[in-house]
Amino acid sequence: MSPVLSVTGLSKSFGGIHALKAVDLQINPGQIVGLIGPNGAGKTTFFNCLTGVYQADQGSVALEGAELVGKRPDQINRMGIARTFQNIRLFSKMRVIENVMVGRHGVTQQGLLSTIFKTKKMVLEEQETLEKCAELLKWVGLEGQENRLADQLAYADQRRLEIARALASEPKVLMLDEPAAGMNHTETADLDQLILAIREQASVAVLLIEHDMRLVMNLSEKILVMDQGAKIAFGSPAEIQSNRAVIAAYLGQEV
Amino acid sequence: MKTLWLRSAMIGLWFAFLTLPLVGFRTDFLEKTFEFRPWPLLGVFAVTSLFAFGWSFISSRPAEEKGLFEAFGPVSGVQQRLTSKPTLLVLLALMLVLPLVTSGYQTGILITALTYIVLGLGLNIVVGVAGLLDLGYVAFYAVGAYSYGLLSQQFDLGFWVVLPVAGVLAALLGILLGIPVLRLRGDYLAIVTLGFGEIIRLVLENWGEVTGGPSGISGIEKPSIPGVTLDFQQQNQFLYYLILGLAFLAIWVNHRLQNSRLGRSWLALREDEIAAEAMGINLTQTKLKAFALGAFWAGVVGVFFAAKSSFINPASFTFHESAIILSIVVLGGMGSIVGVVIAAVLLILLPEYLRFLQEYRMLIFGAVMVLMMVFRPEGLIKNPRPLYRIPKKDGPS
Repeated sequence: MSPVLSVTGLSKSFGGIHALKAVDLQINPGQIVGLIGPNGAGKTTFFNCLTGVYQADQGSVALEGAELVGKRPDQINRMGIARTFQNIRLFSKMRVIENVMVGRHGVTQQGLLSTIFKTKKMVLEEQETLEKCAELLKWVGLEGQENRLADQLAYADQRRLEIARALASEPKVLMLDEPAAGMNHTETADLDQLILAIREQASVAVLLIEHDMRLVMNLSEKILVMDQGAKIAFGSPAEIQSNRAVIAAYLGQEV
Repeated sequence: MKTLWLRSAMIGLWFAFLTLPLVGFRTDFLEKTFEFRPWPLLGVFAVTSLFAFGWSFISSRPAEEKGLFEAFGPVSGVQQRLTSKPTLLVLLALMLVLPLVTSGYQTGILITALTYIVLGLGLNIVVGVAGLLDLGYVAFYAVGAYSYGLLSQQFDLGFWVVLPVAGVLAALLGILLGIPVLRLRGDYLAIVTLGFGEIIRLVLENWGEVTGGPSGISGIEKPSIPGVTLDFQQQNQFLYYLILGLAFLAIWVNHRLQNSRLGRSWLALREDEIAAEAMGINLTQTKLKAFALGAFWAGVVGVFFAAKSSFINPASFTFHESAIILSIVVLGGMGSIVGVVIAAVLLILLPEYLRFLQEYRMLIFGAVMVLMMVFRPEGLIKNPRPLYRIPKKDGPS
């Protein structure tokens, strides 16, 4: 099986700080890959380089063979990568359903003139957008909240809304930046189910940054461990748990 | 209830303090007397407190109902009642009849109000919806006006030809301004656009050979209907219907755009640029479209203004104009069409009809400002987003 996303030798430095040192990663279609590492390991930088927020200095990112390095975030989204944010970034003064509708921006086309003249195509596309988004909201468990403003939602629901918004762009790879941050045990367990359901039904590959080890170990088929900008281990959860380098990174060297 | 009273009393007290030098003291330079007058001051206190109390009492509702209102945005109920079909039809009928039954003076005032409605709607796209704070909006208004003035006098082009042409010219200028400020936001953008507005005005003032300098352009042709001669009053009425038509067109176009893919991308831009970009929105294109469309309306209204007054000079296009248009957008509530219309009417008509209170105009203006800050810091219409009818999917998902 050819990988949907393959990252080779990705490097990024800020001045003298090497935030990413030649990181490699391959994700197969429908695979859930966890990305862990101590604080400051470069996980979010890695995310930002993949999604075009930062430009990588070296290396390549290929999504089904198409190069992503050098592209803008909106182009990368249209090519098939959608993400959520570590600190929630919703469109807070828009309605919940509108947030998801914005997510479909990249897969819809109607513009200025067709909107002003209300062409049939435009009306149909809007209807389709509304239907698909309502369905997505139902799917992530926000049914009945569609007409609230995004900032009126409970915290865990805001995280779910971010996932729905990302899924609305019909991505091939979904990147979740600490989706369980700030959630309690029940909410995290619900999230577990949601991420598995996403993989099953939407058949997207998921790349997941998370500090909640139980969640990562439960969900991930493979785990990438980073420390100080470099990849230190890659493997199944069982392999990672017994890996000496990983234990050293988290707990320190035995004296 | 108790806190409500206390708050109202505090507002009254603050007001009495603000008006102290105006109301509380009387000096007579001939008699050389200085008198402290507590009673009028007490009056100000009482009236303001009662007003503040009344207002907050009306706007506070029973808890249950409030929950509902909060869930769907507190004012969308009011907004929906204002935009229901019967209300709109009555309004339209009223607007159509008004110039036939009122004097030319009244019609003139209404024309001004409608002009500012269109200007407000144009700026609303840029500031209210897309969140790009533009303090130089009047520049595009000036470009429209001068386009008509110059094109009609130098090239003998008629009103109806220049109307769309000037709109497009202003839109192009909007894009031209947009390109260098793409990376700027908030205060920085405000400063640059402010400068841009002044540059345009200074060019108009100093490029004498072309623009006529400070003395401007006079004798601009009024719009006409081919084959019909209009007397003075009919001309006025014709101008009224013209701007009424433009206002409706602007409302209609804005309404369609705001609830579309493009409108949502503008809103997303206003709310969070990074997230918007991550959702596939091209920032450059989206911003430039907002600038261009906003400028388009200003250009069109500029042509109308030049045609109406048949004389233009740079003094009509100072920062003061931009400030008024911006106040309309802010007072109305960011991104609300109904809000802009109400605010434009209030800000233009009230000073006209309250001329007998002229001495107190700034006082009233200040009072309104304070009250707005206390009760409606987000503008008259707080949350203009529509409610969506959620399609129920049949069958199991």
